[in-house]
Amino acid sequence: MRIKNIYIRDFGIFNNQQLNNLNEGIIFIGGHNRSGKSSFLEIIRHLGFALPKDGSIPPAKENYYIQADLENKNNYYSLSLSGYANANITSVDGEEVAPAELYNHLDKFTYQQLFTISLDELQQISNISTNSKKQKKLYSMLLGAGLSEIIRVPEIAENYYKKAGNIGGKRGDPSVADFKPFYNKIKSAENEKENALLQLDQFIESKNKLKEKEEINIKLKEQLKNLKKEEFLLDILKNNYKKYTEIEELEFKISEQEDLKLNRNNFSVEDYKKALELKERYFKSEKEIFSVEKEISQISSFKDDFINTLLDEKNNINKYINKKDILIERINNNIEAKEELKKKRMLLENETAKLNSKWDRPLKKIESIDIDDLKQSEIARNIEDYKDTKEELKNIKEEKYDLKQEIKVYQQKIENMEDYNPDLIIKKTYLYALFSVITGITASFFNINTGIYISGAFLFITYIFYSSRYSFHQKKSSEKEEIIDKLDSFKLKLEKIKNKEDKKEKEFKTLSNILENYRRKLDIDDIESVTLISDYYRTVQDKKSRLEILKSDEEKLNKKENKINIDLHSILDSIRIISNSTADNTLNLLELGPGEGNLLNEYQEIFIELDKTADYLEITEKYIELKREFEELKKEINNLLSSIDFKMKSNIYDNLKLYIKEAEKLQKYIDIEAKYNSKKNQLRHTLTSSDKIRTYLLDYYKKHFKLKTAGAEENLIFESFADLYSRYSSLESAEKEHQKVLSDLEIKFEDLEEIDNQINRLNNTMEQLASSEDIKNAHQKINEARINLKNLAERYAVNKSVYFILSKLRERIINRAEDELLTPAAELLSKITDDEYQAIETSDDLEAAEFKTILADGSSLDSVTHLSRGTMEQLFLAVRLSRIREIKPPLPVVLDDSLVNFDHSHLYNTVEVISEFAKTHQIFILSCHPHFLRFLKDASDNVQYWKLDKGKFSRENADNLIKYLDKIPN
Amino acid sequence: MNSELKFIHTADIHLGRPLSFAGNPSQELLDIFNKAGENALKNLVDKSIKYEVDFIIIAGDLYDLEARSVKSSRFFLEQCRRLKKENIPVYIISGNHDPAGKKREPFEMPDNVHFFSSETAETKIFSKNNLKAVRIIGQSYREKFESRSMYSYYTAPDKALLNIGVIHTGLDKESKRYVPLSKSDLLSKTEIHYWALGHIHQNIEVNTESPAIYYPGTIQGRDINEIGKKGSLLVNVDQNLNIETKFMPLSPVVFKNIQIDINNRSEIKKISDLEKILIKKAKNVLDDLEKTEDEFINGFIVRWTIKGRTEINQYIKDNRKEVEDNILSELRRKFADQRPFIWSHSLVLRTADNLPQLDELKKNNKIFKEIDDLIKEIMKDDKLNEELIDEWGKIWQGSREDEDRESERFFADKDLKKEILDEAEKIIISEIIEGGDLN
Repeated sequence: MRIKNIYIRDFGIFNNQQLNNLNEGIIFIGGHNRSGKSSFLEIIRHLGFALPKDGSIPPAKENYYIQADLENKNNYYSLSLSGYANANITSVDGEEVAPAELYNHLDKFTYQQLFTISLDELQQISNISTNSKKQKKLYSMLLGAGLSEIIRVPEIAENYYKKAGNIGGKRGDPSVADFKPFYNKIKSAENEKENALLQLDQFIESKNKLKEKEEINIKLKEQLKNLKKEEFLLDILKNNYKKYTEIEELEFKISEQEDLKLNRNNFSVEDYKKALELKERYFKSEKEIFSVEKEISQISSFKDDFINTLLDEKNNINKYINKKDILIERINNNIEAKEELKKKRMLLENETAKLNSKWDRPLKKIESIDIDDLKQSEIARNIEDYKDTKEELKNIKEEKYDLKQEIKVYQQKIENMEDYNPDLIIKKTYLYALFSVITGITASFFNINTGIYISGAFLFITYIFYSSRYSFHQKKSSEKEEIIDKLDSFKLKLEKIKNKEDKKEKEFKTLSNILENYRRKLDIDDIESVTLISDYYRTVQDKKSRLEILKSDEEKLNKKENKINIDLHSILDSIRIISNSTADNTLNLLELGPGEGNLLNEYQEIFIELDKTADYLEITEKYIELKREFEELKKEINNLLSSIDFKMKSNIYDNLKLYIKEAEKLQKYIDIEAKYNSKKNQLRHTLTSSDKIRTYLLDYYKKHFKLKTAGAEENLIFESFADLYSRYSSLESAEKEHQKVLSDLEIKFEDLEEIDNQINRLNNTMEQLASSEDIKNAHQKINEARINLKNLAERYAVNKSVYFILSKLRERIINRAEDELLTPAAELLSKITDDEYQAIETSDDLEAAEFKTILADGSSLDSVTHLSRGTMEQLFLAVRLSRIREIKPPLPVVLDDSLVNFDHSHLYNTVEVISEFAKTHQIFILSCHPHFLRFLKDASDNVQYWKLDKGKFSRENADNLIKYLDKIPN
Repeated sequence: MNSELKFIHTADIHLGRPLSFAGNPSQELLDIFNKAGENALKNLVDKSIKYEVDFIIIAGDLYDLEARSVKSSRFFLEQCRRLKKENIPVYIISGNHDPAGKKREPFEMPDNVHFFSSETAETKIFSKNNLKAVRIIGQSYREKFESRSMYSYYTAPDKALLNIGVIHTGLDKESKRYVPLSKSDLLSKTEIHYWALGHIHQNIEVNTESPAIYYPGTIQGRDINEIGKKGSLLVNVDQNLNIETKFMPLSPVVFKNIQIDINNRSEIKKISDLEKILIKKAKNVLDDLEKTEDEFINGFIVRWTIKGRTEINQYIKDNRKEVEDNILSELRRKFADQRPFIWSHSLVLRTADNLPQLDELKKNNKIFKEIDDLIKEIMKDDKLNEELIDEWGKIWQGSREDEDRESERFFADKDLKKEILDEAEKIIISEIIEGGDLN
């Protein structure tokens, strides 16, 4: 693309400037400083884009306006820039064209940096290695991609590398960073899994062990079974050892038994018992008889006579023995009654004697007093009358005396009584009144008031005297009169009483005579009081009747006594007879005469003897009875022995004893035999009662008896037991063996228990192993962690891929830059520096954004900072031109005084390079340096010259322009 | 051959190996996941019984080396007992995951179970109706790695019976680890009618003509790399020894990778808009499943990948973890409890900033093309590829083989590499454009 014409209407210093028919090659615009060269650079720089608002360009007078005619591949376009708007391009056909199409889609920055070169741009290269973003961008751009995007590549790559690093470290080691927890989980779960995987082998091992243990278990059980059997048999043996020993002993006894005289078949236990009983009785009876006989012989030596006498008197004795108690009671009553009557008589006699002391024999006296004609009632009435009359007489005399006394009193009173006169009292009163008045008056002389008071007081006293004395005298005189009247009446009364007294005196005398008569009859002393007569009579009468009763009682008692005596005599008679039959008159009382005398007092002795006789009688009777019984017994024995046909000796008792002896022998034999059988049966029963014992003993038989005898099972069992028994010398040895087997059993049991436990444990272990979820759980943990880890690994891979792709991308671009850009750039630099510099390379460290230069001598400089300023700018120009040349179709290039630091030879070389370059590119060179112009004029014909003076463009030839520039402006 | 035959060819059951599901599912779901492997085997046994198959062939890796447990063996024992009842024999070779299998079998297996020797190729005869019908030739792995090629010893005297070769191989002649042999080696054994292969977890028809060569694949995918329905082959053989195979899906849980491109979808203005799109997609997946009427599938475990330039990328960049967690938990909340379920395994956001004039910018800017070319070159050029993986660090240095890879390392296949580089490219472009003067 080339610019054909430019019209600048308003831009900084420029105003309506027209540059027409611009050269296709070099356009040299010469001008002094501030002539507008830099402003023109800005115009070309922004032409295809838009003017910046950042104040970096000179201001417009009114509104920016630039217009240019462009040519590209023989197509023509019109471009206008108005204000800050984007460049507007239209084709000749009037069609709008995107500026980017004409500008190779270069972005504004790239175009400006590459194609519009001022000294500033060239010097940028010294800053490249500062690695600022802008410099990196520039570096990348220079390297040829020319694309701004690549600038960020290292940064982005770095960023994602870091991101990846956070997830999985630099090398993606699963055991680091974010991977680590999952890695650890996996490893731990894998351990679990490995352990769990061993479970199968453990199971198989356990299974084999189990098999072994089960075999041992079976063996042990078999051993236990046999031991148990042995133990059981030994236990049976132990428990029945004594029994069997007994059986053996009994058997021996039976075998040793001597001949028996009695026939077992006829033998009866009852007979034997009977015989024993009879023997007992016989012995007892004999003994008793002997004892009684001895007793009797002690009483009498004439036994038979004595017995006969006793039997004769038996009835009488028995009679009185029976009556004995009644008799004794009667006797005692009699004695008692007699005593009572005696006491009564004495009492009566004493009482009667007290009646009259003159009586010698009072009871005889009483008996003799005859009081039958005296009547009790009459006596009583007369005594009463006597007493009444006597009382009345006494009262009359007392009344007479009282009356006489009263009369005397009254007479005395009258004599003592004085004369009382009431009138005298009145007179005295008047006198006292007068005296009072006088005294009052007298006093009034001294004091009137005092006078009045004194007379008043005296008058009052006077009155009191009167009132008391006068009434007393009046009363006394009337009383005296009354007493005289009474005295008269008393005298009259006394007269009457004297008459009455006389009459009573007569009555009293009569009665006294009657009473005297009574006294005589009753033999009572005169002095005895009248009232006692009646009592006395009654007493006498009482004593008389009592005496009569007493006498009758005494009579009766005597009769009874006689009766008792008859009985007592009868007893005594019998005693006497019996006593006579005893040898030494064992009985007493024989001095008492027969049939006479009172025996009451001896009754006790009699009865003692009677009791004795009764005892004799009893013994006798007993003797007789025993004798009889003994005979009966003998008969019985005889009967028994006859019945069993046992008569060995003449003496019945000896026979009996002999029988008993034989029977005893036989019985003993029978007992032993029975015991033997019973024991044996018992043992048999024991041995056959349980199936277990039977089976075990039969097994024993099978095991220990080689010669099998066919026989009842029971016998085989018993035989087995006997055999077992025979193996042990004693119960102790059997017990010892049993104990040993028991302890063996215990040991085996423990062994079995241990084996059972082991089997259980193995079964449990196997069941646990068979149901274990450990593997599953471990896998689940691994899976879970793996899924998480994989997600992270993918994130890691994505990030690392970003880094990887970008790194590769950058590498490629840089390689290409070296191939396609730096080689031609090196050629340019070599030309400019007269072959001093041979090659340009990027730094080994791509991140460093650095150029490396290689000199002709093979040495190299790693950094642009090591170059001289001029060389550095030449390097930069070479790289830039190389890069520009690469961009096709070509775009206009602007060089603004950018070569000032080049020395002349290098500058000339550069101008040549530019001239060459101008064959393909339109190049605007803005300069104030005439020597540059001279070089250019020499180097190229294809140059159009323009003078720029204070914003005004004008075509000029080279020489004039040189002259112009040589002039130093004002 | 006198009668028709029917058998099941299965392999790579990896009993005991749990599913890799991510997150914390409910107990119910956890049970489904945990029992998925066992249930797949149970489904296989159910099918065997239902179809009255003549026998079952397990072509290696019945168990998983890394998850060998007594429990698994016990489960297998139970299943074998069921088959014993139905009189169905089971022929087993050991693979690299369960070498010398019989030795490590903790239980006494019933007599319908036959383990092949690890010392020599062994031939077992299967008789039907008292007539010899099938020769089953197999050899077990002796060790974890098996460098013997084995196949040459798989010989049959005639072709009168159905000859089945059972072999656990990666079908890679160069591999010294998993029985090195090639497809043509197998084809060369003309007396074999059917090669029952194991090792590769994918159902592959290696050769459908005679001899038939098949991989049934695993019966239950274990992680997000084992996507799609998994199952076994039901093989029908007619009297003329014509072989017909049918794939039977057995897995209760199916892994699925769902990619959604949201490039320039202007309606996505916020995260919830993105969420809506995912929910809609999830519903579609479940609707599709209903149409297929798969009897065993309980649900899916899904890995979501979101790609493209979007307005919300800035937000995503700033809150990547939060956005992932929120969307995942929302998806899980909505679809984990229903049946069939979708359990969202993970969410990968490979988004980039929205650049409206990207195409224009790209056209006018050489650098973008430069980047584009560079990525293409990386994908193609082994050296560059190696450099890239080196740059990705140790964590990506995992073995290509799943089997040999350490748990803490990963391997990026071509797709993943491409995904990651694409994302990186987007990031670079955005970064350059944002930082440059072109905006």
